[in-house]
Amino acid sequence: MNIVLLLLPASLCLALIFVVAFIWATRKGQYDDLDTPPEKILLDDD
Amino acid sequence: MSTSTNLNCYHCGTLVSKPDAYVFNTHQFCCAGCLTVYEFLTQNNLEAYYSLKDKVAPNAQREPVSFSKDNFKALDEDVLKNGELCFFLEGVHCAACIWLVEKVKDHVPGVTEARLDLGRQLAYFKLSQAKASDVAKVLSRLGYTPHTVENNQKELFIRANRSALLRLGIAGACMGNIMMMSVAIYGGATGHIAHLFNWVSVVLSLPVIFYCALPFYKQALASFKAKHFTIDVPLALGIVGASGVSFINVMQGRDVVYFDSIAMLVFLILSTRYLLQKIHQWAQDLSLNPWIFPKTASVWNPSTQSFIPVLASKIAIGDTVCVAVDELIPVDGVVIQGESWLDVASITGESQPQLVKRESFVFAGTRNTHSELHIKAIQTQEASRLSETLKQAQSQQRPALVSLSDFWASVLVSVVLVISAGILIWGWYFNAGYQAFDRVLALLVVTCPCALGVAVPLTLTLAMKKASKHHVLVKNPDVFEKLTQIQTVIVDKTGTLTTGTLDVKQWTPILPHRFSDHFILSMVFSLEEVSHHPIAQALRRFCLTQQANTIELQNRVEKIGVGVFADYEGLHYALKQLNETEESSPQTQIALYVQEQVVAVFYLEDTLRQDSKEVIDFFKQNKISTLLVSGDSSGVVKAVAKQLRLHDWVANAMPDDKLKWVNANPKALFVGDGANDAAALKAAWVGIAVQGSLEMSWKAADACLISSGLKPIQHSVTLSHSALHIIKRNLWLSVVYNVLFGGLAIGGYITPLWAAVFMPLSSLTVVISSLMWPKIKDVL
Repeated sequence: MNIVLLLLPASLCLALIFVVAFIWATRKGQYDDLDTPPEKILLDDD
Repeated sequence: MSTSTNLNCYHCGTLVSKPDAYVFNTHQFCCAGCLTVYEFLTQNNLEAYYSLKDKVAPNAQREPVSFSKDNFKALDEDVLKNGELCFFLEGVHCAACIWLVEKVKDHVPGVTEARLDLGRQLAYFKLSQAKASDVAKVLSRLGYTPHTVENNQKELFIRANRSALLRLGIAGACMGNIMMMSVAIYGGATGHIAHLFNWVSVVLSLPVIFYCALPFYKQALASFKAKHFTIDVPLALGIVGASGVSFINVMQGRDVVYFDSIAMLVFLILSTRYLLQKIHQWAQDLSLNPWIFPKTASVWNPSTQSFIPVLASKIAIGDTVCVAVDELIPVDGVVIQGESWLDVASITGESQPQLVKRESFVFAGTRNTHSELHIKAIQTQEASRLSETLKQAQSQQRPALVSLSDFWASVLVSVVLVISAGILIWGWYFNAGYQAFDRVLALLVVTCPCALGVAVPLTLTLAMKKASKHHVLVKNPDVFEKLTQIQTVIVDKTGTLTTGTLDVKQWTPILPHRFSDHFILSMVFSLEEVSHHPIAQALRRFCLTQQANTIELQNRVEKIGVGVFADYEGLHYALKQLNETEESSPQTQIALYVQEQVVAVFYLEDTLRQDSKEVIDFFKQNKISTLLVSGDSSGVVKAVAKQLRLHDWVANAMPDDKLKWVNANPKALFVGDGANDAAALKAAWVGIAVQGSLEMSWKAADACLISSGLKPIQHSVTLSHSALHIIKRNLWLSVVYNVLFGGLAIGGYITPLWAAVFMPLSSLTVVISSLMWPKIKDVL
């Protein structure tokens, strides 16, 4: 069962990375407008 | 001349009423506005917009472009905050608009960023040197009407959303990871591993307890101070109590911890609140639309001897203001030059335009429909009649209503708190403190009123969403409860039961042999060709559907308040009100005269909406009395009331009279629009504003229709009954559950651990129950 001692911190670190990414994205305003980007993907870049 | 009738405007897609009048590059346009936009786009190599919009949103509804003559100079008076600019854009509809608005960056020097929020119709710009008026000008050239918005409110919304989302996300992440630990412990992990997992749970629950759950503590405290217990009180107590005991248990090496239930509870409640918050903001966004007052006006400047643009709110008493055709009157005043027709529906509710000449009083918020007017301001905008009505509407007190869920929540909470205190005293008295604390904790956890905390908001949120699918925007979910109790429906006429625009009902040729029908219609069409008067517009619309042509007329004169006159092939033609019209007739009768002899009579009427009858019948079937209260004359009102078989009607009602009728019927649903209805909308048990109403109606009303017709009202009434049915079902579930398990917890038959297992199960039950909507067909 000692493997738990390795897996537990590893999984928590992974979780932490995602949480930090989520906080960063929210602060950057990535979730402010969820209506426009799905429409925008239809537009070609020129 | 082309007579094709199915020609669509190349820009907006509406039917071209005058073929070949507006042509550019072989494309046909419906009006000068659309043509100008097309010209501007081609000149700036933006015609890709058209292929783009056909590709990404071929069916999006568009409106013909109407230009404001505003040059937006007045916008520059307001200082920009960090060079950021935000406009509410009228006329955006699809992805092609995103493309176009974001092109502003390339076409206005000094704009560093351009972004469109399609859902809210808000455009954001960052400016380095460009002026706000430059951006507004280009936007208006692109066919969108920019309106300034209060930037502060937007920022508040965004900040509130971000922090709610952060709390929710972090609670979710912690909950998931704590669950992993708990599963191992429920699965039988013991000893060192269990101890380790518990400590990890402690660490993971810290952000939940000290960050995510903060709003609950704050609101619990506030509700304590207000002496009105909301469900935040037991929530906060439960969270604090359960985490405290869990922590002590971990410290003492015991494996009884509730961190998973705490995290789950916080996450569940945060997510329903986040949903609710979003919907509330969405509803409020709509009320940002600034239509009622013009933002700017042309005011005479004696030093430059010219009209200059000024913010309308800064017009002083005595200023001379120039109001062009199709503009709103910015302040109450007196006409000093020009004569014209005013659309006064927003103030008095009258469907007929009002004639104004020198010395006539004009009110802010009415629309100039005919020709340019110069007026002298006798009030500032702040003190205008419309503002006063608005203030009155906002200050009207709502009938106090302790809503069903609030009432039960506070009862439940009080009972639980009293019992808890009782148990603790009992424990202290019999020296069984630890056991008593265990029971109190089990009680607090097991009775967390999830049916109220989660299921009621969830049901109401779903009801609001469903309502918006039926084109009803509900401002306050209390409406659903109130809608199930209405006894009277009071409706306004113009714009509510009727469309608010005149239409030709029928016409009779009096001398059928002398002129062909086609000639008569073409003559009427040509006579009315350039007039802005609603009667002229109605006649024009009608003649067009009958394939009328344009005839070249001589000496065409329009006499305001009298009619239109012209000569053709040696004969004198006149189009005016029929001389012998009866006073009480519900119809407006317009006749075509040749040499003073009647040739044809047109009957015009404000058409009933298609579904008015059906909706009125629906209310009558459900034994709700129907009352029509209108500002219109008795002939018209009586005709409508008879046609729809309403129980009663009142004509010539001023805003105050409407308020009186509303107050006389305590459980009344008032349906209306326009500024004159605002006070009644607000005072009524439930006020619903119909589509096309002014911003103010929306501010005063409980709900607002966003499609034409009254059918959505019927839908919202049936929807309310379904929602209330579900809420009552959930309350029963919750009563049974709480009494049963609360009792077991008090008796000590449930350990806090089992309480933590039952609590989410009960939540799940009520959530599933909330998702199962009964099919209630038009029955009350």
